[in-house]
Amino acid sequence: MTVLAMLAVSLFLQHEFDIKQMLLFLVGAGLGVTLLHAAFGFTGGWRSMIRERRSAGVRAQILLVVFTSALFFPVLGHLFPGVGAHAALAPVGMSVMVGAFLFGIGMQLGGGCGSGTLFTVGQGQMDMLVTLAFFIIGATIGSAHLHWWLALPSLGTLSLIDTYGWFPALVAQVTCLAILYAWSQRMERQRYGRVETLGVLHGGVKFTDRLLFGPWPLWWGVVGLGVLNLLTLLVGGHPWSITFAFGLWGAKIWSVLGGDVLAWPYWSTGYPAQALTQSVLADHTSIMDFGIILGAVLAAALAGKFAPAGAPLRWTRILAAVSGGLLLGYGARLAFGCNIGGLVAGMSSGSLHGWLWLVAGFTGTLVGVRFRTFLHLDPPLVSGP
Amino acid sequence: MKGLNRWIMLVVIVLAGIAVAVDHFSYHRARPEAQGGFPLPDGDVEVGGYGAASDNTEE
Repeated sequence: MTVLAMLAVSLFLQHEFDIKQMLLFLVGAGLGVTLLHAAFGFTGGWRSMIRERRSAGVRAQILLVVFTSALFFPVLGHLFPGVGAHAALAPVGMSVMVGAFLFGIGMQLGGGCGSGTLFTVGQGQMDMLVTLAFFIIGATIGSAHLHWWLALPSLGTLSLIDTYGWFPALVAQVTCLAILYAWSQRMERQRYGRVETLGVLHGGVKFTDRLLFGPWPLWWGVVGLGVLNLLTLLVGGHPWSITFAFGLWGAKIWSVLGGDVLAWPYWSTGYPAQALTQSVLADHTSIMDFGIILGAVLAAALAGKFAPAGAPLRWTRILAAVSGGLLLGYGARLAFGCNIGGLVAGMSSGSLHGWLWLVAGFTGTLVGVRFRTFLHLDPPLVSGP
Repeated sequence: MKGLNRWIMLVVIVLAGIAVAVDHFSYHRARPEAQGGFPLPDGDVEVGGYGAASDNTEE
């Protein structure tokens, strides 16, 4: 059923637009399958690191940025003439810093980041539908305020590739990430005396069965997400991004309800204005997001995990989903993207704003983890073994 | 509970699909030449792929 739906959407996109729209939708579906089967999320990985000193998730994310950087830097450094691709460059300023900080809080309260929210919605988790709804509202409100935040101090865009050349920039970035990797390993080893590997495969499952039905080891997720991100860059001409679409959907809904979003500076010029006057299916981020959700539906059905029953929703969980969703959306708009479009795409493009996103987002997560404890979503923090 | 969750999710997906279809056909009638596009964070706009057209704007 899901496969038929995806096939129908693919053919429809090819008919209405071009093969590129179809390919981007299928890449999105591949991302959804990868995210769900590898259970690859930023939120849980950061929380495990902070609460339990378990570093597998964080190390997988670091490897993802290393792998994606190794794929992106030569392309963005024009090593291959004729391949036109744009880096995800954004200003290193207050807007990104505040936005990523708010996003970091929001991802812990909302229970998911940009990619995590989409694939858990595809998995059929009811509480994540609430987070997604308020993610969209937050992104829409953020788009109304963005011009004010962009007027605050900023160093402008800083590209490591343009400044130092792609190879020295790649070496410098990988060195910094290797230090972070070693530090996170050390934290885990100090507490447990050993470090969990990223290649844990439980049971004697055949490769094809594991590929289809999951679960995947984290390093499969790293390879899958890196390769699919490269395909996005080559087919779409830009790195993988998620949250522009949320603001677009919200702005379209607000317009239908009688709101005048064209009066907001963000929607009055350039691509956002154009996107408002076109079909939502013309927007790359939207069709990739739809692909991620359907890909996750497919993977969840194959794994027998669709629409898990879960515990009944408590008011604290709903409050967290509402406030988390609003912070996620507002923060992502200010920070020029979520953990995917701002952090991974920014760092893999050699943009310094990606590093600022990492620091501010992780700081926000430190606060968000404490809010979770306050709302009794997690047990109190315990330090040391 | 699991059955109810599944039905709610399916209803949400169907409603979202209808909303997307309505949006697509209402805009498609007005601008049948619409091309795929993407907002670049630095303000450039990628439309039509591989730098086919760009529009420098400030956000």
